[in-house]
Amino acid sequence: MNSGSVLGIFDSAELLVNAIPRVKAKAQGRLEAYTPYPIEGIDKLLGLRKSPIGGMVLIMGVIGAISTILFELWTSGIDYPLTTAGKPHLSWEAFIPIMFEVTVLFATFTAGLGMLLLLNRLPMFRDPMLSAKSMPLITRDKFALAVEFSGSDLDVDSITKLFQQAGAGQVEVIAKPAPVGAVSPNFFAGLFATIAVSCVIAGLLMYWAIKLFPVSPPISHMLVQPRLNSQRADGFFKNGFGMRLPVAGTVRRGAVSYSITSQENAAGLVNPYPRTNEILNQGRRTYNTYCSVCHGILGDGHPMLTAAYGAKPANLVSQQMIDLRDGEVYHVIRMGRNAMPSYTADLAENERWATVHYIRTLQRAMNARDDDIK
Amino acid sequence: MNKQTDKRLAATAALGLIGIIAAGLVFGWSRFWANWILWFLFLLTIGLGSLFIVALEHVVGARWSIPLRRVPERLSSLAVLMGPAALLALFSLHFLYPWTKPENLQNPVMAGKAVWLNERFFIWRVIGCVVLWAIAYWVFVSGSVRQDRDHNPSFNLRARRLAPLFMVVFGITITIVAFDWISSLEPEWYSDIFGVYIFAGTFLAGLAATTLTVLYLKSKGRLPEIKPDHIYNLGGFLFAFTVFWSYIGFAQYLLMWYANLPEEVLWYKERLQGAWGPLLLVLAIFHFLVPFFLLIPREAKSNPKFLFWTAAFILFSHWLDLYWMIFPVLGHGMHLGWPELSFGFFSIGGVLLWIRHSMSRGADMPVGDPFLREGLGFRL
Amino acid sequence: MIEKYVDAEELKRLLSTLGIILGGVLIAGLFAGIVIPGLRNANKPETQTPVAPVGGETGWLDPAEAPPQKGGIIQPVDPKMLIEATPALASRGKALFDANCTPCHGAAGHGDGPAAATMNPRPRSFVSPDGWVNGYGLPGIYKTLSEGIKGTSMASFDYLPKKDRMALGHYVQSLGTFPKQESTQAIADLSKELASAGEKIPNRIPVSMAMAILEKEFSLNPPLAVDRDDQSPGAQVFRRVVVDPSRAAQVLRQSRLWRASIRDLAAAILPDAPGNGFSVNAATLSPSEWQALYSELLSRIKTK
Repeated sequence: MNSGSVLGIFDSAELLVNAIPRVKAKAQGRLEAYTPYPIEGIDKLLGLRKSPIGGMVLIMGVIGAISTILFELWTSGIDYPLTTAGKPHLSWEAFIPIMFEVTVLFATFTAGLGMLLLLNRLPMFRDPMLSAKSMPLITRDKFALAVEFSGSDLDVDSITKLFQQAGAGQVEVIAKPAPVGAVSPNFFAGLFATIAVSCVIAGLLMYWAIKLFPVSPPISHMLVQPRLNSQRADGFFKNGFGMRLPVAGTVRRGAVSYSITSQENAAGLVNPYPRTNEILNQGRRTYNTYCSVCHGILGDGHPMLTAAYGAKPANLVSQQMIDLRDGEVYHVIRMGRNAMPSYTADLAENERWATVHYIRTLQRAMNARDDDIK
Repeated sequence: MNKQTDKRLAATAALGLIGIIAAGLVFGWSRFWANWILWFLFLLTIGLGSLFIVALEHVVGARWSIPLRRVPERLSSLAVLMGPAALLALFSLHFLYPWTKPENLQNPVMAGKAVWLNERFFIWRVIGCVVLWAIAYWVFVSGSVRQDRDHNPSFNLRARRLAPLFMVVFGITITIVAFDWISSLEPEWYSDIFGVYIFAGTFLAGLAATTLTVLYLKSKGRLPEIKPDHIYNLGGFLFAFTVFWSYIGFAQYLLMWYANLPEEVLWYKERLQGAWGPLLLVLAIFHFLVPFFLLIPREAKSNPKFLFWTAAFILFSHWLDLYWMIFPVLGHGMHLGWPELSFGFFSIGGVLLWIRHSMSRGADMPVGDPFLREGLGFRL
Repeated sequence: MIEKYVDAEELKRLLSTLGIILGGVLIAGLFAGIVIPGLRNANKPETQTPVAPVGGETGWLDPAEAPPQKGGIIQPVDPKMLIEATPALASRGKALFDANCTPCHGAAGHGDGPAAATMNPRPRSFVSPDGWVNGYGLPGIYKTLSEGIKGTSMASFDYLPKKDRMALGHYVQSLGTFPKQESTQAIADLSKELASAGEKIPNRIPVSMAMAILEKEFSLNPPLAVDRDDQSPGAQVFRRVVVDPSRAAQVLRQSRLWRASIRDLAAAILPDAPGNGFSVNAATLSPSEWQALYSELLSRIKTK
């Protein structure tokens, strides 16, 4: 027997604790204790090295805190600044709860997984201690002290005597297993059989689960709630309208009310935006999104939705439209005309003017001058 | 008993007394009474926190803390000592508390709260609280001291039965302290969690004071049977309740910050302006970050010297917390000068004298408690 | 070999534990490998079918980017073939009517199309003889189609070729059963108009090219600027009211209406503020401040 350990089994924790210094003084080799419950201070007596778990947990907790703060700063402050409840984008107050949660998450995972995988070397099931005869006793009410030896540098008999002097009830010697060779074919056969059986069982369970519990609709939560769609009637207010008009005379902050009432009066408005590439492209995006559905991608009034549409959209590249002033086009976008609704709510002021520019571009494209074609 | 130290403490307190009277005459009585409220609450929270520790032990039937129990028992005499101080503090009502001014009843918020915040009811509440604390002190502490002589275990049974009742009384009275003495300095402010916040500070102050005293007595060789295991538990409690205080404090702030209601955020706005904002930052560091990181290591919680200074630090942070809550009502920036120092001399000198005096009588441990041996044998 | 350290009972227990764990892992793996990619596939857009060319002309997927196309001339047609209704014209007219007129005038021409409710005045009913602005003779209908009717929702359809307009005219006439009298003079004028020079088909260029041209042709006006030190009342009001000097310059240099009076200046800049570079605070200026602003702007912006 080249290496292994000698186990002294004690009846009480006191006996074990008292035995440790005596054994330590005489025997060489690493000492280890096996007890049914943790005994405070035994690690110092045994001279075990300090567990690294505490430091790992601290470091991972700090990493969790810092990385979460950075992550939140990046997502809600820089990459996708979304205003919530009128708060500044970089509101550290709102980040704290999440930072706290992630810190705890990192710390607990590090503690749990670090202990299982790193210190207990989890996938390893072959600790020789498990095969000790006295193992069932140790997990119940006995306390074991082990001296580990390797090579033949240890006199097993003297250690046995030492243990007995220190009050050990019995002494057991176990050998360290030889290096593990290839796993036997039987092991693999059993493994695959287990997997196959597990799959079959899981499949049957799934079958019965679906059979017994009918498929329920997806959780809808807030989709199903009492609400009123815009422009719908409702009995709540006396006039039967679901929507409220703004109080007479109210003006949005930083704006004046749009006082032009007819298309002719709007002719005096001019487009304050220059025709730069950027603005024309913005107009193109807006036009293709909002206008082309009815007026056609070329502005010729041949839309994609003809069949579904109840009105004849205007041909924006006709001479009549070319002759309109910018302000009139703007007015129609803003106030609507005939079946065309107002786009005040959908388009910002600069988008409307950019769209006017783009309509001019379409008109030019569809009625190009001779020298435009080279 | 060292007479020399007694004399020095008495001289300090006397010096402080002269200082505070001079301060009242020089700086006006608003500042005097603000100081009075601050120091009165500081000492009261230490006393109440200690009383709570004693009662908590009886409620949960803890054994480990029995050898230490005499220390919080003696400290909780502060709760009784502060009874007269509370009655004297009633003179501050017209100086500091806006709801006492009849013209403020025009304010609909204050008018709505007048059912609770009126002088007659306020005075009855203060008297009621003082009486209840005195009764609790008599039940738990005087009973325990009596047990030293007669070794009668029926005290344990009685304390065990009455402690849960005291928990209820304590919860209500500490909330009344928070709402009446601190929150009503700005009667328009609403915060439902404020009582819990003050409770967190109170318990922490009691723990810190207990830890300080235990470690001091141990260093003088008066509690030789106290093992590092007991001290470790005190350190663990300190660690846990630093976090609890921060949790409650931040929860209050976060909710108010999110909702952004005028009647709630004004209180914080006032306490973030000027020098008070940096003071809040200091408070977050002193009251949470520093103790938190200092107390993380296992060794720190059982190292007497280290724990002594950490507990002192926490106690100072608790004082700073109260200062940050009370003093902004005076307006005109931060008041910190010799009047505050005089009050400090007077209060600390006087209280140390009182505590030394009470420590000099009777046993340092509840020797009559039948479970004392079990508590002494406590190991982690 | 291993039996030396672990007895058979123990080994069985360990292996079955391992088997259960691996079985669980395998089931999780099955989910990860089969179910999740399956879900992902289900959410993927369908496989692309070949896209039919839009417009039927160029084969370009984005019709706005079709290559440049030279316009041309439609040769004039013999008026005789268009003045008289023929079955070919009638069927062409019906197709055009369905595509362009029914939304407002209704399928049977009663003036009750789905969009009619949004219009004021209501679309014309083709079955009643009353109130035809240009008369219900062929020349009148042709005129309406070519020019539209001002002040109503009737737009000009001059982008339809003359032949199509005539076909529509015949179809519109055929809807009403009331008698129509045609003045010979008008018919003769119409014939002359139809026989005159052929129509132009406009040139077409891709939109991106048009964008480049428009951008090149555009000349940017220099922004309005006022010295920081200038303390004259006009300059002070100017600094208060102008928030974006370049846009304000754009507006004032392009429009002349505001030069007439203070009232016109206000009418020119207020409705579109603040987008046009002027602050909405302009609405609160006193008359004397308006006067100062008006003279300041007049002195700064010279007519071209």
